[in-house]
Amino acid sequence: MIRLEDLADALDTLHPMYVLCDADGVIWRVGRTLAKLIGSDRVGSGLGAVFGLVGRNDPLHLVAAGQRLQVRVAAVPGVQLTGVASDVGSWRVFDFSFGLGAMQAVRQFALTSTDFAPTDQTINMLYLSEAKSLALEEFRRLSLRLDGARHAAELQASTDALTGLQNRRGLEAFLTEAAEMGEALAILLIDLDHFKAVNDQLGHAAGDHVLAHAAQAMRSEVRATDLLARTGGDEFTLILPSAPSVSVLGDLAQRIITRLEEPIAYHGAACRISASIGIVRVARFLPLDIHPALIRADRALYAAKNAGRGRYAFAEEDRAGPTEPFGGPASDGEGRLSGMKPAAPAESSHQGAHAAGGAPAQDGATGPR
Amino acid sequence: MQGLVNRAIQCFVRDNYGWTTWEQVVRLSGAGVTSFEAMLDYDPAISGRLCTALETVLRKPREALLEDLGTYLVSHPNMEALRRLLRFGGASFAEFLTSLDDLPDKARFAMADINLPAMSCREVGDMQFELRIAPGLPDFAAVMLGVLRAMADDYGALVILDHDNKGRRDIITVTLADVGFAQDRGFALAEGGHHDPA
Repeated sequence: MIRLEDLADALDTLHPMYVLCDADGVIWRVGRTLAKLIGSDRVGSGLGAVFGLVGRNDPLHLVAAGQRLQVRVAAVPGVQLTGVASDVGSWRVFDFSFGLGAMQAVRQFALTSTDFAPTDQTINMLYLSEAKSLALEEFRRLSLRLDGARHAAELQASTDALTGLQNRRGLEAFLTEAAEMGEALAILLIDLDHFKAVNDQLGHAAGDHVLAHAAQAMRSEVRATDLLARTGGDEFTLILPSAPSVSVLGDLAQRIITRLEEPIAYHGAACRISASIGIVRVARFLPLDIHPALIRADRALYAAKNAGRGRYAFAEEDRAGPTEPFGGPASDGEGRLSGMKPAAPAESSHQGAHAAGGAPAQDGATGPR
Repeated sequence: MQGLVNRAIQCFVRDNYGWTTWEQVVRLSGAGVTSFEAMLDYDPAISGRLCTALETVLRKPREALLEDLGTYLVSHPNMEALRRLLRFGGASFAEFLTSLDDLPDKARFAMADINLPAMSCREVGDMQFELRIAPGLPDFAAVMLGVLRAMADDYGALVILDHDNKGRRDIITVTLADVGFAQDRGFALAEGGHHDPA
């Protein structure tokens, strides 16, 4: 007949999370690791005062041997143990383990590797959990770095992925080079009208289709030596080297508007957009002119928008018309906006006269709707 | 695994000798990049070329450099995570030594493409252990020498290490002179939890 002390010694080595009780459920021995949870003074207590079965009401000491048990520990709310019971003579032995809650228990009870039997895989589980977290964290950081690099590469690329046109970076490079050469040039800021409505009503895919189509339409109106860039969501910039006359620019702007107002088919729907265009001409483009010229073009665009969209406007210095040589010094950067140019081709030959009007022409004809 | 190795060399040089030294090393090695990603793969030849370049730049023998690298991997504050993983090996330095047999498997469990040479450690005398390292990764034993030295420090043990690589395989003899020579740096099973100074 095995002695209680020998049994307890063996259990303490093999299963430091054991509990040994008698047939009445009175605790006689507690394993050294389990004692850290429930207190070492529980010998003599009833099992029911220390443990409770999860989801069941029957007394723990009466459960069938060999059955998988889930128990709460009364002294430590939140900690659940997995267990099993077995009978040794008239004794009943329970063995418990932490399962997936091991990390919390290890921290809460300051457990060390010596608190676990060498056969217990808990330490390996903790090791793996830590190693895997490290690897995942490293992968997460790698993803962030790669994403950053991709973003930087996109910014550095000079073409716009959607339209194949130059992007803002390409535009800046072109302007910088032109300024170094001191060339004459004209800048047209083209902003699509009613594009947002297409996007909102037909979705982003339709919006993308319209942008690509519009880009193609504009490209067919310009020469290979001109630079056409997509500089924002629905904003485009056209640079014409050698600054053509006001009437030529007006004709071109009107042609672009007319082209863009042609309905664009998308899955059976006809998308209708238009464009507003701000134009500035610079006689001798120098590095310091880049920023002011763009500001003046932007103001002209703003005026065209305000005048009812679907039209173009020249910056103030350019309104005098073809007889005046290139609108004076372009580098003052303070050009206020000109009178509006109604975008009707019939009027574009009288731009010089039109300039005196100043205020945006209410009756200015626009292209076909 | 090549990314991890190169990254380890990079961190070692950066933390111990500075970034400009590292730039010299990569330039000399012809690696083609200045920074390695631990999780990416690289040409296996690069790691060896980095070590050769390091020998030239620092004017130090290869074995000594690799041993320093091993020590760095365990003892530098930036490498605390790796020290922790190694400390899962056992509660004492002797236990850690005998757990080295499992190290290649454990490493593979953490990341499937880590391929460490097989190791076997056995007690050959009173407080004397012999670690045999299978061939396959030429510079590995020298790194292990540094790792063992630093891990002994970590456990507060005083050891004498002897490296013999005359045969086909490397043999490191570890003599435990004093297991309680210094303060154990401590290790809690749960990160940030209670420390367990032995």
